[in-house]
Amino acid sequence: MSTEVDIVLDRPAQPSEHQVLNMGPQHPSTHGVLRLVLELDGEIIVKCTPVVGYLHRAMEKIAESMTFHMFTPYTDRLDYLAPLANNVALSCAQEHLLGVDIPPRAKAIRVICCEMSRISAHLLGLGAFAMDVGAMTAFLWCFREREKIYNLIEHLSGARFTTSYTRPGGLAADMPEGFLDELSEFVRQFPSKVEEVENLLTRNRIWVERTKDIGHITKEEAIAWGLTGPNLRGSGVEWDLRLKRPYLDYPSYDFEIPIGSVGDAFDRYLVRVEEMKESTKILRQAIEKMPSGPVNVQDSKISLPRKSSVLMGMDELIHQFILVTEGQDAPPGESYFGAENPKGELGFYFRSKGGGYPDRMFIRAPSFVNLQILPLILKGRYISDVVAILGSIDFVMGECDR
Amino acid sequence: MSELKALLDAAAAEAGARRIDDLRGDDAFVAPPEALRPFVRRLRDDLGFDFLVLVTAVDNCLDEPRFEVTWRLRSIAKNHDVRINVAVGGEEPEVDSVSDLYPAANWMERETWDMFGVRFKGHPNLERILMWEGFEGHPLRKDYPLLGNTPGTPGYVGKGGKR
Repeated sequence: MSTEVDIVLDRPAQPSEHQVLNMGPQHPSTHGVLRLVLELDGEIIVKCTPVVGYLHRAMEKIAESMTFHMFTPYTDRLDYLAPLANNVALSCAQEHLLGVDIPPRAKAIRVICCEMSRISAHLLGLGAFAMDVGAMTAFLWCFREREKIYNLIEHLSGARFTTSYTRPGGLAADMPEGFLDELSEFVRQFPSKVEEVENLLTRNRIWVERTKDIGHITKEEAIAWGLTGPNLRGSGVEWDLRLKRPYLDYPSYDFEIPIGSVGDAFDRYLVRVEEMKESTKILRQAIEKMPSGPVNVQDSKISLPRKSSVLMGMDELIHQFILVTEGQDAPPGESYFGAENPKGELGFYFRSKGGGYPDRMFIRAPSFVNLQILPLILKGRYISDVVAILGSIDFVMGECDR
Repeated sequence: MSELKALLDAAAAEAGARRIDDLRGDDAFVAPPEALRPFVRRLRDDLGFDFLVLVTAVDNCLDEPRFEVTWRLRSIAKNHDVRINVAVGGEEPEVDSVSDLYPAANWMERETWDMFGVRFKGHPNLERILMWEGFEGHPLRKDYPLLGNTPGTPGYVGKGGKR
């Protein structure tokens, strides 16, 4: 956070020089606590300096004094619009470090978790984006659908936002009875609802004029600036970790990667809409093929034994005690695992010296990396385009600041 | 894939880096500080590693050199990742910046400076990013205390309950 900018702010602008406008950290269109210091020439942005860090909670430092189990709830607070997907990403990363393969049923349920989160995160991103440029109805309709997903998530994990549903080695619990029926009901009616929102926006003259040819990112720029997720795909790069670096059982689903053509805000919007449709396809297939069996690794050194057997058996008691007090014994070394989250690649880099605590854990937060490109795409645009561009980048500050 | 591995090995040998074993079979290299930029440039320009996944550091508190800075590069076209580790130490640890080669490194290098106090030579604007300007210390160093509060911290309560 630069102090130099504050000094400039205190000084009244001279008629001949650029004006400095402070936007945020509490501006509604900054979706959290992003602060932008805009240098303006009339209405045109000459320079933009994003200031982040207002939501920094030192998660990486906290992770160093925790076992792998204990960190799961912190991931709920990363991208707080898709807590389930964060849980899955963390658990997959921990399993990658531990070298564990989870049972097929756990994989299928995790896929459901990820895709539900993707739909709900894109709905919010889209709704907030639409509201920022003046389309109130789209916002309300998106939130109506989102509410249904949150009811489903509540049924699945017991909490609407702070889910903490996954564990290294599987899941906290199997799906409750009747969950799949509720989910299939949602999947049945959802495509028509997306279409409704699309009808409101895609050919809406105001929407198109506010988003088309704004915030251009070329293919090369997108790659050089490290964009991931819909922002990268909106620029026409066919890159999706679900297919390129297959994890869980994604290769067994039939779905496509939507990509944009020119890389403007409108393309990024279209990519998100299409992704929601593809996610619905994945959900439908996951419901159909849902395998039976356990949802946890049958290895008491990785996943907690059943409580009933802990109370009755010696071995289980010992394993439970060791897992809770010392955690899983990770091999010494380094590992990196990236998962395709709604906002982009959420990666966890682990450095282990052996034992149950990571020596270092780095969170590669997609929102943090994606935001860097703002000065480039805001330069030369009108100040009214800022909200449209911010909406199209779709970031979450909880994840950005960690 | 083995062809790419051979190319990587050749590039590493030319730049003075050396392959190390990796826990999960990634391509991992250790480079001396001066070999970093030639190696990265070679990877980016000749082998198509056009995407920077992460830059961060690890504090091996009691060892010398104390810090290990790590880069992860990716080739989108070849769908392949490479990790490079560079050990840096001394009173004022410093390593070359790659932010001119990969703009994505800009904020991640600032974060590494903020959190570990590792300087990046040639960075255009090496300022704190997550902590505020004027904050003292580098929180992710192992010798930075986990508990307690510092003057200047929001919610700081000093002696006698004075803020």
